[in-house]
Amino acid sequence: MSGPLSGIVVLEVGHMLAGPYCGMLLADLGAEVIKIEPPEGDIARRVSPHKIGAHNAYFASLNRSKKSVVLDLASDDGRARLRSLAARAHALVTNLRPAAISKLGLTYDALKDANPNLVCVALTGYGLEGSHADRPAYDYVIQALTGVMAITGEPGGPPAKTGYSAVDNSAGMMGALGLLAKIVEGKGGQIDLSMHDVMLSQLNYLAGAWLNAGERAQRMPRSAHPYIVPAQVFETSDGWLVVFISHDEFWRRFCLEVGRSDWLQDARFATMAARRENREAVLAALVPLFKGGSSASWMARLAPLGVVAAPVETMEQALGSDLARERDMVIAIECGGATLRAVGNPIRIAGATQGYGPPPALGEHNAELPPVGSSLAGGVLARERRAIARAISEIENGSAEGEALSRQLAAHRGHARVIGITGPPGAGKSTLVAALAKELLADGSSVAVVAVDPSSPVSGGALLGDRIRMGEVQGHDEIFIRSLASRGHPGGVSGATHRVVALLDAARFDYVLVETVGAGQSEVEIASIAPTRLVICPPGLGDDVQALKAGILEIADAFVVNKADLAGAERTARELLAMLALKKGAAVPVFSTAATTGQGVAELARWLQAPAARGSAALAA
Amino acid sequence: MSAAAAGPLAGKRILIAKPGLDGHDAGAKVIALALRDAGAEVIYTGLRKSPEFIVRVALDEDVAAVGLSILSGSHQELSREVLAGLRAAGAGDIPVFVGGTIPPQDRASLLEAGVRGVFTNDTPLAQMIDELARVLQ
Repeated sequence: MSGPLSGIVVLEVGHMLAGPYCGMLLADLGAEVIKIEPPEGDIARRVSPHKIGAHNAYFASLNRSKKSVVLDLASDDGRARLRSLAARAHALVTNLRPAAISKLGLTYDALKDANPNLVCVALTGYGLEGSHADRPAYDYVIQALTGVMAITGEPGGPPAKTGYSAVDNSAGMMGALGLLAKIVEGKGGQIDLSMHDVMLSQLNYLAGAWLNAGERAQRMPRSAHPYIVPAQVFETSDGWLVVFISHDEFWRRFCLEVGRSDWLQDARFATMAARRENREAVLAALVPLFKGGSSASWMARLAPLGVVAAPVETMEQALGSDLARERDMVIAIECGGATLRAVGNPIRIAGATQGYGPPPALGEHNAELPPVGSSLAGGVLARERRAIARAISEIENGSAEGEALSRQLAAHRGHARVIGITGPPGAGKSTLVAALAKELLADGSSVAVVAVDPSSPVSGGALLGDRIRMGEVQGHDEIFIRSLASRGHPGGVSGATHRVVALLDAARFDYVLVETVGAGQSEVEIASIAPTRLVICPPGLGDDVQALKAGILEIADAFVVNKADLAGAERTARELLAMLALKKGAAVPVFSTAATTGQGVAELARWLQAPAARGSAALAA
Repeated sequence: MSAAAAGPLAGKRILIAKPGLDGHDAGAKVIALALRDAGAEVIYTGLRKSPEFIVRVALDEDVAAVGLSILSGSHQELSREVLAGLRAAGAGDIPVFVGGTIPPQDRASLLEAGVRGVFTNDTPLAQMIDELARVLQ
């Protein structure tokens, strides 16, 4: 659609009136409005007894120019697809109940990781939260609760609702206003719009009179203005006429026209202030006067004088009026072999041509839904570096697309040999990982490396420096290295590590090497991620061996005494062997390497390449 | 990051890289630490990396920004090579910042080439972080 909002994408999870009206106003202004409906569709599709082609008339009058996609937001897949849509949308409007909005994840808090710039508008009865949030909110109820009904109708009669749905329509408009304000601001966020608030806002001057002057709002007979007399409806011989004489000059013209120049001299009638004081006397004179002529005859007499008057017309008369025709306010939209007639966009923009599209069939645009994760998943399976990099970010950030990817790729696991490399800080893990990767690459294998470094508990940031010690191997075509921050996750890895490893496995890397943060006694989560674990020990571990006994020592499939070119390495290896001799169960080998020179790394690689990767508890190198 | 304060760069992955042949990275480390303290996850490559290598790491690490620390005087060539490499890889949307010994008269041409910000050793760290946060918003 053309229009000032062309290019703006709005998701509407709306039903009945307020949300759909908000969406339609935006669609009329050119926005691409994607209506997200449950499998059974917006209830408005069933509300009217009238049909226009295949469409329910009520629905058609509020949903033109939109797209419709069916999503079951109660399902994981539905929510994942919603998040994919949200990722490319500018705004989301909903008028579901607060509990449903929360449950279905239709808030900014729930969607901001999919799109931090998303503007979420919740149109609710009493606000998203608070003591009244769960109360039912229908147009009738809000009119009842806000004084609108109490001030509507004849005095002494029952309270009355406005003849049209003032609350829902007002909420829809206010929602569009708030949404556009945030779009102009350029920042995402939540708009919490309560219909109760909206109606209180529209009591503006009446509320002001009460709040500041103690004046109660009251119904006036014949809808009379509280201050101006005569300003109300008068019955004529064939209907009703609004007369609104707000200035003394108009009063003078009126009196002369009806042959009552004496009223101009009458102290009770001469001035506006006098007429207000003597309302009953004025009306006693005017009511029979107006009853004596038809509405048309009164209009013929008063209009040329400039006296404000209007016949009370029916909606049908208004829609058929010259004015409505002149303003193109009754439009016709072709839809499915039928013609939908509706009220057009009241916002006319000079020089612009207004266009309208038909309302959508339920789920008509499902084929346009972005595939959930599939483009990234395809790239991951094809081992495309950029897709893998992006996919890891999605997984690490816990986005819906990341979750969908993990599910989608789960069936592709089982190729990679996942090797955990852990040990205390300074043991030379990164250098050894690079040396080991080099050996494995030299044999024609592909290698992925996940290097985890700790996040700052103070700032939440992290300095991921493992690459500094990984050297030239990083440029090899068949290696993919990713640095992860632990993000406060205990255990020596990050919370997303196991899913990142699964993704790299699905990408069919032959080896996935997972380097943990510098680990102490209890950082053993690597055991649940990597079936094969190397515990790297620096020379001179000494008594630390004892300290490690109950921790990472127990998860080792092999020990590597790295920096074997330094003094004390041999002793450390002996101590490890001695300690292992006390341990019952499977034998655990001890390797000695000097990763900086490559010493012993080939042997370690061969051991890892062996089917079982289980050696004897012997000093292997 | 539950216990940590959300800094202005929280959740942003930023690559700090040193292209070229100069052998000092104290400045790069100061920057890396400042960014970390502002909440960023900073990937640091170490010394003497080629533009090609830096582009590769930027892509694999899926960073939100690349910061080049250059003291050697080759900032014009090296910056352009990194920018060209990113563009060629379809990642021209990753903003590149340059810091180091950059003569004032070179700033405009770097910006014109596509560098999003130039920081020298007299740029206050807070100002640099604010600028990064603004661009990465």
